[in-house]
Amino acid sequence: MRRAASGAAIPPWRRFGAVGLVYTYRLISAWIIAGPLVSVVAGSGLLSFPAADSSLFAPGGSSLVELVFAEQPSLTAALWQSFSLFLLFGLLSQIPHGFFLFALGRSGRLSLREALSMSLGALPRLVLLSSLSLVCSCIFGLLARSTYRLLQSPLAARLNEDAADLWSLGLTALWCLPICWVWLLTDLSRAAVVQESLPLSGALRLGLHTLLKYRLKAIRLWLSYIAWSLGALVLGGLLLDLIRVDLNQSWRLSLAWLTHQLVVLSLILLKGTWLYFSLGLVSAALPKAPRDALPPE
Amino acid sequence: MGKLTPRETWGLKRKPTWWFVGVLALFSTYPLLSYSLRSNGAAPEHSPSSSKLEPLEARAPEPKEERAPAARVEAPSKEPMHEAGGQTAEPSAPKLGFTPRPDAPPAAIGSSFDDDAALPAAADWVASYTMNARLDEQHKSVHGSGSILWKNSSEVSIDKIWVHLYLNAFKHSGTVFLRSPFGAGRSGEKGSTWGSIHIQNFSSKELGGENLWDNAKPNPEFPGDETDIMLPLPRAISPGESVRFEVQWIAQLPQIVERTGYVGDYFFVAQWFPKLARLEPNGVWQHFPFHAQSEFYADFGRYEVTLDLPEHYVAGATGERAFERREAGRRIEHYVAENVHDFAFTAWPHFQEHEAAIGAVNVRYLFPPGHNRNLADTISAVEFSLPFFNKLYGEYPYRTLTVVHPPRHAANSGGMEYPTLITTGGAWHAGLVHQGVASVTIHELAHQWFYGLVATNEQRWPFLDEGLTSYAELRALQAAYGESSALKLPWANISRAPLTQRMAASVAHDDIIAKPAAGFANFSALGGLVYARTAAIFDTLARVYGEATLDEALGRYARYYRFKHPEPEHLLAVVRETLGDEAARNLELALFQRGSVDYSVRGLASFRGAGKSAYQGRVFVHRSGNLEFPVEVLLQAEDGSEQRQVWNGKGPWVELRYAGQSPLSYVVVDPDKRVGLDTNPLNNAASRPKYEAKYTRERLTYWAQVLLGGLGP
Repeated sequence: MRRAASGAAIPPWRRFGAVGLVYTYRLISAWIIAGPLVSVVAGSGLLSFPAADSSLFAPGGSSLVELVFAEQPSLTAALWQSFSLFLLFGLLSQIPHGFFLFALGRSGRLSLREALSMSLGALPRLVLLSSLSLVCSCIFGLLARSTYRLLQSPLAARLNEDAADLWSLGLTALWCLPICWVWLLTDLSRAAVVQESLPLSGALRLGLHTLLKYRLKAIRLWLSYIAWSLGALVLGGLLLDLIRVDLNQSWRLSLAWLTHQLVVLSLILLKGTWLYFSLGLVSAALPKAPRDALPPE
Repeated sequence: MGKLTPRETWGLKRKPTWWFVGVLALFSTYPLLSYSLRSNGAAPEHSPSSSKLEPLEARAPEPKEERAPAARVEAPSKEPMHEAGGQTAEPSAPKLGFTPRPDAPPAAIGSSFDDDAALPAAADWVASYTMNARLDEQHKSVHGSGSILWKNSSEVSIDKIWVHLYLNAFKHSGTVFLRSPFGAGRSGEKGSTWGSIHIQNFSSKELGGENLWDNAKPNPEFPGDETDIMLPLPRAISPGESVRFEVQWIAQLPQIVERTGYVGDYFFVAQWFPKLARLEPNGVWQHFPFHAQSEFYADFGRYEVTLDLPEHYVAGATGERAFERREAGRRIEHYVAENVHDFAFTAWPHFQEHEAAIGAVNVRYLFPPGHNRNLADTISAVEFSLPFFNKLYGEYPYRTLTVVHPPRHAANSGGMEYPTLITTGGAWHAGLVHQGVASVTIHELAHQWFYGLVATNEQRWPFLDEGLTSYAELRALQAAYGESSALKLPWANISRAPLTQRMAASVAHDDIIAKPAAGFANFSALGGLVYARTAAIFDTLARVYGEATLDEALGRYARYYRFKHPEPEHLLAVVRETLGDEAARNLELALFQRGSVDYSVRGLASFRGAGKSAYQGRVFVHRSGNLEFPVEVLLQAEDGSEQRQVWNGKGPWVELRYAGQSPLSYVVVDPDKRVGLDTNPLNNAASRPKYEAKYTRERLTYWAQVLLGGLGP
């Protein structure tokens, strides 16, 4: 496979085409994922009311509770369908993911065909990487759960209930560090897969090497990305609170849609920015001379 | 009993599953609404209007004939024994399904009980207990001694008495309580150690001084059970005559089950002494074995109890603490409670204590270390609801109230009511998410009226205490917390009323409500019907006939029957007197005949009209079920103009006519959601144009987009 040009990453705000493709993919797949649940609501009789389904968002949740109780079997089935679709589209999202990384990692004009070809070629490795990351996260999650259970009883015997719980939770939260470490490593390894066209083991090694070499910088950048993303989500929520879609006016719905899509776009740009930096870190971490010593593909 | 714990409340039959909260979170707005208590008790914007619906007869067809409400049918159940003067009474009259008492309700109570001026000052003391209780911390037992002063308040001579030894429910696996498949009851577990009461002496000087317990016989109807004991007397006791029984016993406490027992060094001691069954005025003993789903029934009296506890313990109990002293490494506390019908106490070395006065009532809070947030929530709930209930149901007559929050390892003792002593419950962080702690606290406090002061037979008619209490709780929760009265996440709030209504609707056809506790299929059925559905019935009465009118009815009932033992007929009579025959009929059907209702709109036609009206329309509104509530029907035109018509709810359907300047667009029956009992409110509307669920689409698409970002780019 051809190697992408390294050391010449392009920030996402200069790759609007790639950002647009990723956004479009997310929008279409999310639209489909939402479909089963939307169908249940549409078939529930709620739309016959003047407020239609805007009443689902009214404070107090009266219509929402009525819907959940009346349509519980349908909602449960629809939820599973949506979840399955979510997993499917999550898996397939590795293609635009690879495309995005490739686009960010290569300077100059980028042909869609070439980028797609590259990302499709990297798809098996990206899927494996994501799966590995998921498995590792689950293992650490289970370890965290066990830790919490182990700690709770002895701490409860010595401390007040709240202190015992908080200490247990605090100590358990230490497991978040390796989980974050795994996620960071995954992103860097993804960059290595696309940027350097490395096989999985080589990408992991390079990702680890990058993480160890630039750990403070990588962590700072990653945490900034996470913090800004959370900030965007919270801001979107606060704005939506002001919009009050439950009042059932078209302009409110349009404004909510616009706000949410701006949040999604911001999240994609933030992710792109982080990936852009991670590509740079991976390139910088590559040993100059022995670069060819990395396992060939 | 007690309030369902938050877990139990959410675990009612046909509960929403785990994804419920997730769906709420996905759908919800970010209201960030405060849930501060409203000191004036004003109802929030969605509370039922105090105005009453005035039915304007639409062109309804002839009403469908319904079965007479008096023809009550009850599911088979193990009835308690009713004995008159020591003789087994005739079987219950089949027409009513229960033995009516001779003290029929008055024709009218009148408005004199709409305020506290006519409130009775004290109860008739029938059974008064003077007891000493020494808590043996090591052996988890209570050594009791004392006397019971009992008066034959009936109109017949009595030659035997019935005594309840409730702790014997945990004596062995063959008791009525533990051999029930639902023996776990409301406590989640059956307990891991046995509990029992061993009577050492039960004698009376007036009756010769011999130990009457030598002739004690457990109820032969329930072999293996020793919770319901008959004591033959050496001579008959005449009407009005009083007898003092000297008693001595040892109560061995089980690990906490059904709100009594111990865990480690924590004790909650209830049902711990030999307790006389109640003798009705007609000489019928109301006695029964302790069933896993049932509670208690007793006479009012004066309780004077001296507790002897290890010195380092902090205790709380029914009544006022008259004095306390320390001697020989022990703490002696003396409690006096008048006009009550039970006594319980708790003791734990680690209780934190907080006291505050609300009017003339000294409220004492006992809570575990680390529960400061819960304490604040509990104080707020009591500060709101005590004056609230005072106003609605008559002044709380005691000078003390003790609120106990058990520690986590003893959570099974939470959510229970005793006179002037209630237990609440919840994790220290519960208040961050939902109103569970406030809800349990308010529920148990409401029991001070519907159980404590209006002392109905909890075993025979659980809806009279738990149902009315659940409604009072709902009423207070809605008034205090409004839209956040159930769930109060920063981005989602859920009101308690729709939850109660939907839980109630989900069990509408399962069973009748007005039946003995032991007659329900399981505790889940009892919870759904007795708690949720009864509350929803009264909530519907309030919304349809006016909240103020129902407040007046229940206030009149609670005041007039204070320190009395009313039955369903008495409640129905008050509702009939204040809300009218239609409301009383609906209430009776709902309680005794699985009454239900489902309104729906099944037809809408709009067409060009002739004459002044440019457009005309025809609408068909249907009603199924045997309850007939008047409802409003909203007719909304395309230009947004609205017309409202009222259908009196009689008959299976009605045709309504529309005439206006714009085509008829929507029809909604019961647009203000007054009939909370409506089995399926989602079929209450019809419209001409059909829309996509665009609001849902927007919100779910957004969240799917966000979540996909976690897996992909």
